[in-house]
Amino acid sequence: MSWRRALPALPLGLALVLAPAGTASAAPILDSADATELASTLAEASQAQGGICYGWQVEVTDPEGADGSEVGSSAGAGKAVDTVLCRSYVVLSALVTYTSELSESEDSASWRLQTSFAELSSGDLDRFGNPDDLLGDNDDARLFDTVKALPLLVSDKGLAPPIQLDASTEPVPEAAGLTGTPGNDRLRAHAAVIVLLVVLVIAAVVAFIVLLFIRPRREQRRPPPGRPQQAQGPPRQPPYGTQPRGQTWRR
Amino acid sequence: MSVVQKRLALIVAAVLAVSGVVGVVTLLSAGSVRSWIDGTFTRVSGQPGGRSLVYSSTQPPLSTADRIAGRWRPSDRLNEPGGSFLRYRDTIVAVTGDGGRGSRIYVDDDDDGYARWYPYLGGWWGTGGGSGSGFRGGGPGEGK
Repeated sequence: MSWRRALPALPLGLALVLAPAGTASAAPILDSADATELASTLAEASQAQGGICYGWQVEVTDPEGADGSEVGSSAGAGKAVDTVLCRSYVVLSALVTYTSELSESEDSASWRLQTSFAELSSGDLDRFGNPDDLLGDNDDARLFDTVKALPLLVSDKGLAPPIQLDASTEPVPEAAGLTGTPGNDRLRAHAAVIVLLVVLVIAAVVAFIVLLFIRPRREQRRPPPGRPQQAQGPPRQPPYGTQPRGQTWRR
Repeated sequence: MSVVQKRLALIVAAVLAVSGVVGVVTLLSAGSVRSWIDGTFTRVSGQPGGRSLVYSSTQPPLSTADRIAGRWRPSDRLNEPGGSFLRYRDTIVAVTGDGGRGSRIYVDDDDDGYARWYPYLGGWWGTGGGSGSGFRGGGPGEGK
């Protein structure tokens, strides 16, 4: 992500992070249950990684909908990271702007990292996708997933030990099962090369057809060199009275 | 265009068309994320061709998952503080910490993987409740 893109979120982010822990005015992306679950997940990660504080803060501007902001952290949903108490912290700060239908501007989203670690930067968020994913119907899932990945990013940089996933020991409910069809893996992996090859095949087939069928027909129509070109259209009748004797014109 | 030039052009076009078709067929039939992981990382448990295998990587989980996803793009990806899940057509790959600086890679067929990691994947990639059941989104982006 470019710094220019992250710049608009800077004042908001600083204000939210530096402010004492408090309650957000609205929850424009995550509902309260999801925010509580996310905060709980971050709290477990914080404990496993020696007390690093994790959090998120989002500002949504929507002239036709619900403006608002939301914060949450490993200290709880609705609570911003307290940078006085937390010596080490990582916070995802996002700014989502929806525009009026009458406006020529497009909807936009930006995000940045606010952290006490010099080893981390906003560019590290590129590993989790594009901030524009915060626009649209999957905004909550995208925010949830990206914030949960913050401890993963910290361990990847060697700033804290990696956490281990716990495999399920409970039997899966009978009703549980995978849904959706992921599609062909090879097609996904080699999409660019396959498209290039298909274009090449189509171009070769077109060239083949042109060389084999279309060009020969045109060449057949062309008169052989050294022979006068025939006039187009029906033969013209000679003027009345100039008709040679013994010849009749058929109509 | 002389007859010789025309024949040459026809031969070139035919070779390109056949090569392209062979290339597409080869790409669509060769390799898989399973075989690539098997050739890239160290197998810790399981037999090749088995439904569940475990590999080790010297890189931390996020870098390992990025490496796999960079070579074999998943249909969907979920991140957790403890690792990443990658979903493929009939395989689920989970990458998590190994207790040190490296990572463990779990390669399961899709049903076994969903069962093994159900507390994380439930509701996101399938039915039956779980952590993702309350979300509007979730699930593979293709073929839904």
